[in-house]
Amino acid sequence: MVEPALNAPETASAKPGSTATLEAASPMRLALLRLARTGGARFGIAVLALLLLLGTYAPFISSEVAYVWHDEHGWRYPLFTDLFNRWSYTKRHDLLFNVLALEAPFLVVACLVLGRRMKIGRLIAWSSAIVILSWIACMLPLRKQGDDWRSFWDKRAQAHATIQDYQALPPDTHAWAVFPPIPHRFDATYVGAVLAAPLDRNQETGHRFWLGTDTGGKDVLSQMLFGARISLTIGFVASGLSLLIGTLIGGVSGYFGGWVDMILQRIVEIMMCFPTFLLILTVVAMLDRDIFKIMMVIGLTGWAGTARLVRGEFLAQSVRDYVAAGESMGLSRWRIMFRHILPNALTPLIITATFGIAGAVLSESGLSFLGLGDPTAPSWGGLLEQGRENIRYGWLIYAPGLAVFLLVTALNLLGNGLREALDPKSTT
Amino acid sequence: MSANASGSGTAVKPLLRFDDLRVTFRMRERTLDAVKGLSFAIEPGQVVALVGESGSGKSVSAMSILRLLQEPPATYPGGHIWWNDEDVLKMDARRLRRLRGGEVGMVFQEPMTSLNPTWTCGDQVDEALALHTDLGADARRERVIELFRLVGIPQPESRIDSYPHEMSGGMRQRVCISMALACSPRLLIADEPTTALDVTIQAQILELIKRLQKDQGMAVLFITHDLGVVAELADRVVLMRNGEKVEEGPVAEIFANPQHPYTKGLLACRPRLGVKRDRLPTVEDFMKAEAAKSPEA
Repeated sequence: MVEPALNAPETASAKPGSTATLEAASPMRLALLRLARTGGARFGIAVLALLLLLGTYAPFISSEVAYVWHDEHGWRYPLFTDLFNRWSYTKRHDLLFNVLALEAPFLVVACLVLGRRMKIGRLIAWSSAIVILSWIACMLPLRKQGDDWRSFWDKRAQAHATIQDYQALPPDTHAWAVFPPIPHRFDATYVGAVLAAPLDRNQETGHRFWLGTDTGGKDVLSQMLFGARISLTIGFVASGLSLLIGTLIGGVSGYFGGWVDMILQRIVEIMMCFPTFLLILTVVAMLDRDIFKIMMVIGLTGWAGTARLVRGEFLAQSVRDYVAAGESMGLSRWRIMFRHILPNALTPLIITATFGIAGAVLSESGLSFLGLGDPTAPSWGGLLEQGRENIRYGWLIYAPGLAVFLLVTALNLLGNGLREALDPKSTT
Repeated sequence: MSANASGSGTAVKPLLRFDDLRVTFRMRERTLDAVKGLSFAIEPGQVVALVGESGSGKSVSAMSILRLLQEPPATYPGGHIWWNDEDVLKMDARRLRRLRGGEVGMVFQEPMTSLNPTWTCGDQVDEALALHTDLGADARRERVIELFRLVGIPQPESRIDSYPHEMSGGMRQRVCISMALACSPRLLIADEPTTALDVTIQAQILELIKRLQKDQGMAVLFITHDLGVVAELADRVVLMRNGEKVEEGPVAEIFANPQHPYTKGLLACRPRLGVKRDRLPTVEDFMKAEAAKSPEA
């Protein structure tokens, strides 16, 4: 009955001609290729990339400090040192984006060089790790100042070489400087420029407020740029947090089953019973209105849906043979859960994460609009709230409203595109 | 084959011995006795076929060797599974993990789903090696290529980086076998490894298991309902039905001289070339006929 046919094993390749040059195509890579072909997703990625770029390089676009300053003392680059000035950038996420702005060009070059030899996921992981580590390093006390150790971020100097400094120079000094296109700080109050209309000039420096100013005399365009940082941070931190909690609880619940599942699902149900936005409102009203606390609250209240989803996905995956095969090889349960099942359950997770980011951005805008946002953070929602109070000054509404709309639309389009691209039934 | 089979009567210490194993699934409303007192032994280097129809408890018995059944609902109300001198049913989690993959390898029925689609084939074999051996990353990669070559995967150097979806069913089953063999186990459990494959590939995979068994000198527990496979591969046969052992013996004896009516029926209802029938007979038909005959005799 059985013929010894071992000498002629079947050729496995779908394309018989291409056996010599086999290039491994991971399912994720194929899905990304499909994604790059969807119009909506392209638009979404483009908008996100633009916002990320604008947000990251916001200090290079909008700052009072000069890029280059040349006088009798020689060349100086004050804007670069100002990136680590704790008086100029008070929030931690600003420091993160500043670090990213400095490192991004090198990382992009490194990724282009290494791209052929490393997996995309690994490259992204390494780059993020480098940025986050250097961000943390900037906050550690590594620099000696006088007798005590300070962090690099802890310069706490008055910004020097600003446009005001330049204009205050006596006319006969030989100084030469290049300033960013918008020489305004996002948090500086400009005298005599309260609720200035778009295109009005700053009376001090003569530069235009392209999108006008708000009730505090702050430049709206500048706030919009730095607001992009806040919106992106909220989106990623809040939805990352809810994703983390949801994955842990849902994964444990789905894989272990039994009474563990029973208890965890009751907790999830209790969470689901709360109207999320009211819960956020209550908690934010009790805490002080710090933007990071708001992010945490949005993240900590939004994981129930993710947990449900992950549980279902883990339930479906854990009866697959590869899980049994992993167990039969002696792998530990955690390894099977998070190294084997999770990558297979990632598809719906990525999609919900995309919509979750949009939801978090909207939640923050809503909070700010209701006056419960962080008054010290230049968020889009904060501008909207000012617009609500000063309904006659339309520029306070159009710009941030349009920005929130664009970001949320882009994320939803991207989510839709991802859903199509990651659908196993879609054709390659 | 027959020499080996006749040697099983001598006092060789068995590698694995089921001793009155009972497996019961306790669910909320009812309990189900899946295995009701199974006893048989596998000696080192022996190929034992566990034969039975669906639901006869053969897979459950095999899974119990590695304690792969989820507990609960599975419970072991009685019996032992002796692995050398240790009772598998009394092993702690740490010892079990060493047993799984390290001393006993397992090949599953469905090669399409028993590989993780998000990992490359090489990484999945590598994982077993990383867990059970002290080899470094380069040495492991060498070993994986060697294993792929051993199981007859062409171009192992490039196949190691392929994903399962880039391979055919037969190739994937070879990868699964190489995974089970990664740490040179002393027992290979093959749970219907050819059921999901088409006939020519089945033959190749059986030939491969046979060759590997001879080369590596490992014991094989082969679970199947295909009697042709049994005749080809096994030294001994254990027949199961409804969670009980029906008959056991060297393969030649069972085929030549079945004792139990179920075995007779099973052998008789194999479809044969050249015999024309309206309906393929079931084992029950034969057993009924036997039962009708026996009181008269």
